Amino acid sequence: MATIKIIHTADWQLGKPYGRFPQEVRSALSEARLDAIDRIASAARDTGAGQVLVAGDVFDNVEPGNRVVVQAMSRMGHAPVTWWLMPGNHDHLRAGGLWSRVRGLAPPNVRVIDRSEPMELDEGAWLLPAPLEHRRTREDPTALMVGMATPPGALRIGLAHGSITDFGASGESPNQIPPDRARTAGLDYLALGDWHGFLAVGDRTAYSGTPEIDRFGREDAGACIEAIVRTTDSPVLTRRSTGRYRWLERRWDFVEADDLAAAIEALRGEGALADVLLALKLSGTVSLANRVGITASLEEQLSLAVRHLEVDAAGLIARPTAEELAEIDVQGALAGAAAVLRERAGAGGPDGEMAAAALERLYVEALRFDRGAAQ
Amino acid sequence: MILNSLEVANFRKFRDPLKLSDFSPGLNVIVEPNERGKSTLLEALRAAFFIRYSAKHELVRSFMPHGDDVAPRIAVEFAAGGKSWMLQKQFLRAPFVRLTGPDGRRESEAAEEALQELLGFERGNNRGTDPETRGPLGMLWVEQASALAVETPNRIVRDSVRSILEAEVGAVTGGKRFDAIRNSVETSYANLRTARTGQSRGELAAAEARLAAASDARQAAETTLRGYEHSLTELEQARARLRIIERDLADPEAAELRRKLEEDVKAGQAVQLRLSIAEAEHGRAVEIEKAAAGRVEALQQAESRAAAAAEQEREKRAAYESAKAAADGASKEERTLRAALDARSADRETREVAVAAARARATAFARSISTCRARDSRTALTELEKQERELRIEADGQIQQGDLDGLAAREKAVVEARARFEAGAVRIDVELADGVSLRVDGELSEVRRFDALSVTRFAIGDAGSFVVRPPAGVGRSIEAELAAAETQLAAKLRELAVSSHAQALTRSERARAAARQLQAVRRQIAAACPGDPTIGLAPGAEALRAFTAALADDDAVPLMPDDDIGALEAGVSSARAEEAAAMGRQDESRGALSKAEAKLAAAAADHASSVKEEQTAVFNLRAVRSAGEKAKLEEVLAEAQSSRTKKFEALGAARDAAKNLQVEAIQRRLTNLKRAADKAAEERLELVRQIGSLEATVSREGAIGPAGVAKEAIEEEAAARDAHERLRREADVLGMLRGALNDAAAQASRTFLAPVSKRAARYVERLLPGCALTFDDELGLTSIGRAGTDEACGGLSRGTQEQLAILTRLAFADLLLEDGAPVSLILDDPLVYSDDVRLEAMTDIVLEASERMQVLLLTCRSKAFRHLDANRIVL
Repeated sequence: MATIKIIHTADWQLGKPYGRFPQEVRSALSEARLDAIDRIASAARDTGAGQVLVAGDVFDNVEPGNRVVVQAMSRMGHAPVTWWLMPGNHDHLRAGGLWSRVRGLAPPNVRVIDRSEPMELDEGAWLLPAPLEHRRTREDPTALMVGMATPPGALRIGLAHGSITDFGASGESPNQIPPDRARTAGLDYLALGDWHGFLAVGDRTAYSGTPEIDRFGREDAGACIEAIVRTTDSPVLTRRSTGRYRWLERRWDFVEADDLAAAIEALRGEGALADVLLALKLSGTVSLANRVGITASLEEQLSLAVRHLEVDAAGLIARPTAEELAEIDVQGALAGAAAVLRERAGAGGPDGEMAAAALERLYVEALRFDRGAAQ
Repeated sequence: MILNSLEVANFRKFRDPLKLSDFSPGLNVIVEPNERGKSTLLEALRAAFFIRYSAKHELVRSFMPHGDDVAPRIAVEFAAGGKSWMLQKQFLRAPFVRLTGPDGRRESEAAEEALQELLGFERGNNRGTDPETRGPLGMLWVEQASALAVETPNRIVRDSVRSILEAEVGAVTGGKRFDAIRNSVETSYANLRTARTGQSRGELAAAEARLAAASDARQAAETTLRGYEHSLTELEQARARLRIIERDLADPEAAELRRKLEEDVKAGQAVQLRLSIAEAEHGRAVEIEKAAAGRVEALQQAESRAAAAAEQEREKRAAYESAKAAADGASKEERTLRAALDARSADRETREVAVAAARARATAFARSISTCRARDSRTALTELEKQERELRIEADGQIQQGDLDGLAAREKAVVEARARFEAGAVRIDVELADGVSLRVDGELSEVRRFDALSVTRFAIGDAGSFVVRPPAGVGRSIEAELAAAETQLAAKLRELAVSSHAQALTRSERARAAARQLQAVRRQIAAACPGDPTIGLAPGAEALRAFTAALADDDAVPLMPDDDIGALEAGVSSARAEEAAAMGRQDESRGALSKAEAKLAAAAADHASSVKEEQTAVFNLRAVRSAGEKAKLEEVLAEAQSSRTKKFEALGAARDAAKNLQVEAIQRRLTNLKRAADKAAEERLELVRQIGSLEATVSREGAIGPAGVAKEAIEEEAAARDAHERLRREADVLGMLRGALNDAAAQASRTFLAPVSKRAARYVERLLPGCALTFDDELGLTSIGRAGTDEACGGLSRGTQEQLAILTRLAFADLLLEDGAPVSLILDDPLVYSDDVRLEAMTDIVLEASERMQVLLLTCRSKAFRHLDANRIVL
């Protein structure tokens, strides 16, 4: 019974700009994607796998700069494994495009897969790749695998990039792959890319997910798959963590300001905050003072602790108390302005939101003045 | 405050003192036409209260009456604070101020300060024109034109009103806290937007700029990406075209077509070859026919030529033979004549020999005779030469006449010297015995005779001596002269080799005679040697001597020959004549012979030529005939003609065949095919070049990562948009807050100013029913609300504005009055723009006000205010 141990990974999306993040976060995230290569190499070394299959989307776009390409090639060149890089929908094949450059810059242990032809992966193990030539195609990129001949008794490992037809409810998503492709093409394993999380489809098909998470909506850290592929039995798949940053989305509902401390404490329990990117949605109805206190705490404390913090506080409604309004002023122009704003905030709508914000600001300004006066 | 009297002097048009003293505490109306000084009175009041007595500025100087240099002076009696006061002020000249009140009199600064204190105003600027400092009276004493505008009350009034209102209302806008908070909000807002126009600035403007730049960058990146994609597409297309062209270039059908066409070309070329062969064969047949015809003709020609040549030969032979006979005859005659000539020549030679011999003999004889003569001449010559020698020696003794004369002179000199000597000298003759020696002046002397000319000692042996002393005056010079003369003579004689002058004369004479003889002898010698050509002897003695020296000693005289040379020579002459005649005859015959021989040679040549021609013709004929006899030749010709006809037909057929296979047309097709292939190859090259260029472009631009750059730019734009949106929202929030604060402040203001509004409203209601007044923070009337809409003051009519100005002043005056401030209202020419209804309403209000305060109304319109029940004052 022939077996081979490989590392299956995908969706590196090197060169992703992270343009909406501040510069230092951008640099850290970009660097982390490159570091993932080293971690994949470590995983290969640790498990003894000699081949690393990258199932598409090695690069974030069809034409990243040479800087990214060179850095990636340099890291791959240092690892004692063979890297099989296959174009995906983000970095699909184009005559004379990116992959020509990659080929020109690649070290000897990097193989660029730019043809849908069987390639001998190792003795007795053949790779049946389906590199994408278009960003979107209606055709099933794996259809050719059925007709790909390999020596009798050889392991057949498919490598493709796209969605399993079952994924979308509409069935309209591009690059669709039938869920039973492994069976129809006689594959011992079909290594897929595109889906950024780990997903096994049947016992011979799996998505490795991205080695380094790149967006909110995926709680797990990035990983790759160590796959032991066997001729008869289904492959043994083991996840090997490679990700550094955690992209966490949280919705914190407040009744009291004390809830914040508990939430932060809970977050701390999930891992090192320094490697966490947190997208926070605040909700609830609190006093004006609490709202100000909560947003201030987030801004002044939590945002410094985590790698990056995004707060959506639109859902955190401030309901000013009589005391709070009195703190602004009990009579006179300030009290009048506060009353007007409160009324407008109560009316809701965009103007109401703005009025609420204005009232909050007025409250902050009043507190600031009183604090200054007290000092 | 109540004005009781006003007195002015030296003030503008009031040069003379003017005193008005019948003011009532209520309404006073001064009705005067224009230019009577109503406004001057108000000016004087203002000057008295508000302008410092010591001031000397422009305004103060204008108080002086025109053209005068006097001190403007004002005196006012008034009541304030329930007390009576007297104010006196003089400007410019001896200026002073004096305030006299219930508690005494104050002057100078103290007076001014007391006045300010009393009436609630402050010391103004140096120009006296600062309304802010003038307090309530400044507001209420309304100058002519300034009443037209609704003005904010001055600072002192404002502060007074505020303090009054704060007490009255008891509520404030929020005071410092409100101001600080609003300022903070304003500052925050101003950091994002300008307060006035709401234009973005600071961070918001920067965010907008960032967004704009990011949009531009994104567009640029997308353009670059599109360009790059375009290059990629072009590259792909170029490669596709290249594949097609390369396939076309390798198309087997095209190759097959070309091969077939090439075969056709070959076939066509073969047909062409056959055609050219047929053409060649036809040509050859034509040539053969021509040759056969030629041979037949040649035979005919050869035959006629042979006949003609035979005839010619016969003629030429006859001519030759006759010429030969003629030549033979001439030859024979020439030989005869030549023999005759030879005989004559021999005869003549014989005779010539004889003559020569005779001549030789005669010559020999003549030479012998000459030789004998020469020998004789030689003998004579020897003698003559001897004479000549002698004579020459003699002739050599000749002495020149000069020498002779010199000699004679010298002889004469000696004689004369001697005579002188002898006359002076002492002659001493000494005779000595043998063995006795003579010493003259110590010297041994052999001479025995002496002519002593000086003291001379003679010693004779040992016997003694004596001294000869010649007479004085005889000197040694005489002796010397004599000796010199003798010496010269002796020298001349030696030179001439004579002993005396006489001998010299003789010798000279002989020599001259010898010279003459010598010449004669020399002429004889020349005559004796005439020379003789017969024997080759030249004239002259030397030739003769040479000739004779060579002769042998033969004295024999030859015999004279007896030949008749004349006869002999005559014989020779006749023989020569005969010879010449014979020679002439022989010459003539030789010429005839030559001509005959020339004729013969020509005839022989002609004959030989004709013989040759005959032989040639015969040979030719034989040769022609060897090709065949005439009948045979004609047969050959007929055959050739028939062959030519056949070849001509074959040629026609070949031409037809060639016409069917057009090699050129096929080749044109082939060329076209080839050109198309070439073109494709060119296109291929161009595509390869283009692909290379595009690949370079793609590789260069791709290295920059256009898609990555574009994506980054898009995200940056989104980030910039978010940032901008956040700031914009913050600005909006701040704007809303600011608006709310301002609205609240305005609202508070309204509440706060309610007492003023209320008081003013009382009046306004009567004038403009249903109108509400709005005052701003500075107590300025900002707008009136009519029929639910606010109308800014500036937009109101001038009349309304003036009326409102008076009414608001009245309202403030009421408030101040209630607070106990000294108040009086002076209106200078008011309400000029008011219509009758408004005017009446206004005068009613003023009249009512005059019940609470003194009102002074200055006007030129007597009719307008006639209805008023007022105290009327006349200037």
